[in-house]
Amino acid sequence: MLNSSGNPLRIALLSISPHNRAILEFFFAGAGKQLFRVTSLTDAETLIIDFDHPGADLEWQQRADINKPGIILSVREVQLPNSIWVPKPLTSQALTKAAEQIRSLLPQTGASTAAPVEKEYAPTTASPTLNKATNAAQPFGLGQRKVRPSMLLDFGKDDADIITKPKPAIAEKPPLAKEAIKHASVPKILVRDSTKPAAAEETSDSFLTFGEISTPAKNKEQLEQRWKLLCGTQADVSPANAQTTLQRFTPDNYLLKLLLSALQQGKQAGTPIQLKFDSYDQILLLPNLNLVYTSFDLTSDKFAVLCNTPIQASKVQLYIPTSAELPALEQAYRADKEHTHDLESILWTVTLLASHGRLNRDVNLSQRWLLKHWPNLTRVENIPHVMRIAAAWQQRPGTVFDVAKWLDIPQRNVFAFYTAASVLGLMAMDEGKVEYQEKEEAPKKNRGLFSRLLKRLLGGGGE
Amino acid sequence: MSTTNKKIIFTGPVGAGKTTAIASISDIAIVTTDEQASDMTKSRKPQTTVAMDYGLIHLGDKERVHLYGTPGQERFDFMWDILTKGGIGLILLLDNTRKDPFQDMRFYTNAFRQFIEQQQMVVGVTRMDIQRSPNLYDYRQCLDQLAIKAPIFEVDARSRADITALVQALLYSLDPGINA
Repeated sequence: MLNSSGNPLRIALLSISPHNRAILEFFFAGAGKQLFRVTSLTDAETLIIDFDHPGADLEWQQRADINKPGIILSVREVQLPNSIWVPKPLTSQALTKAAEQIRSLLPQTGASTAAPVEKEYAPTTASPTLNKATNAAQPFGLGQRKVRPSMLLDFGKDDADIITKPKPAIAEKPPLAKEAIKHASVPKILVRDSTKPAAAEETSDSFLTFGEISTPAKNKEQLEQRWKLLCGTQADVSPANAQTTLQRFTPDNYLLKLLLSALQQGKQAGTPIQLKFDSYDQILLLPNLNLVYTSFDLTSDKFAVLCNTPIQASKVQLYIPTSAELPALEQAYRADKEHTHDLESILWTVTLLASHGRLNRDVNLSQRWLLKHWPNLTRVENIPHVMRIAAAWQQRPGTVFDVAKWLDIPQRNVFAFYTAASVLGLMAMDEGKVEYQEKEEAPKKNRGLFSRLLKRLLGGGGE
Repeated sequence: MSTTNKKIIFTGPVGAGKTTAIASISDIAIVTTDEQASDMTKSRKPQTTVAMDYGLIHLGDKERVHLYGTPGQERFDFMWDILTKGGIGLILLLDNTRKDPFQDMRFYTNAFRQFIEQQQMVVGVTRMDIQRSPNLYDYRQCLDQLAIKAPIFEVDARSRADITALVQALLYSLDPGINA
């Protein structure tokens, strides 16, 4: 938006927060370069003022005598003489529109009469001028950074600048939560050995951090062993012959079924519920908190065997703790973070160990499925290609075989994912009512860069 | 030889962990405020307050991924569309200890709606270990109500692994065919 002399509108920024001032200045230096130019108050043709900023209205009154029109930024409508109101959040289109309107208020424009103040702001399509500016591939516009680099860069242009004055990171430290720990009346098996300090309590900035079921791998071989436990070793089969050749499993035979039943009971009763095992191990389900407290090491061979071997229900006792027992249990699980886990993460692991890369016997192999929501992948145990499976399956529906084919990955990984995600209620049958469009063009354009970014973040390794 | 620059936007309410999250994966010490002004503003004063947190990931000599964190306290003041130009995706961080994190989710998804539809959003919920409720199921319901499909994870903003997982999910959502 040029003024009568063909130059950008000269503006002065009055009361405005430092954040907004910086953003506007950068915008005016780049994409908005042809619209506005920030000058001193004396040289300005018009003023920009943030009416949500303390003291703005007073400053506007004080500047009234210099008789320069103003662009007023505010979340609420402001109607004042010789001004244009631009509602927040600000957009480049709104600023363009305001520039058009304010020009009619400038005495230098030669306009016969000043335009009336807009009663209501009506955003319009960006003008050709703005589009030209916006399309100049300088979203933050600092194309002339030869003298000094800026943190706001000129995307798509050659960029040899680097940030020269970084500031140290400001770490956010959450409040320390220290729990009184008393072991009295807590089942012995769940009491932490007092001779061993709790890892979480040793760190100065510890706050309640629950145990993660992270893969206990120290090397690639151990990782592969763990993945064999979680996803099995079943070779791919032809979908045409899958009904006869595919290995399946029956969840009812495993700990998984008992766990789900107990969880349901606990939810219905609105109370914690315990599973007590012959081995004196136990699992305490806390449905209201979505937590599980257990004596088991979830990555141990012992737990793997418990999960992937058919189990007799009589070997496990369901127990609802009395109200007298609950305080002690609560103290225990709050103190013993190492053995307290997110409910979803334990269900995920138990299901994977039971499934062992096999599908539930009841699954319709020709059914197309869709992932409704991603699993909580920062807290559930990792399996190969888990992110890619989640992403692909959320974008478009497919059978378990489709997904493996799309991604060119072993079927057992998809079977494992499907089974665990189903138990968490994250899968939905595709009813064919919705058409799915893939974001194909842009992603492929960036595939190489995305791949390099992932490798960089993951330290050169795979998922 | 030209340099390719891409950008990832971190947004969310104040205290959600944006600054910490950027710092956890940035190659450079995070740039916060009071940086040198641009050439244009230098004529007015030597320094200005820069509005955003900034980090950077180098991918060799010719590719960079810039990490921008919006100022969380400026909920109604930000120029959302300008900020997102050139961005490959949005990482929304929500603080589970805030009074109404669903209102935060509604606000930010609405503010960035167009960008989310064009690109992709992922959501990280922080401080769930301090405040267990609402849980991820509740957040998923909220996303359903907003008709947005986005990965949502519990995260610790200080954890490089957690923030990396968010970026991974963002990139795979844009293109599941990536090989890492």
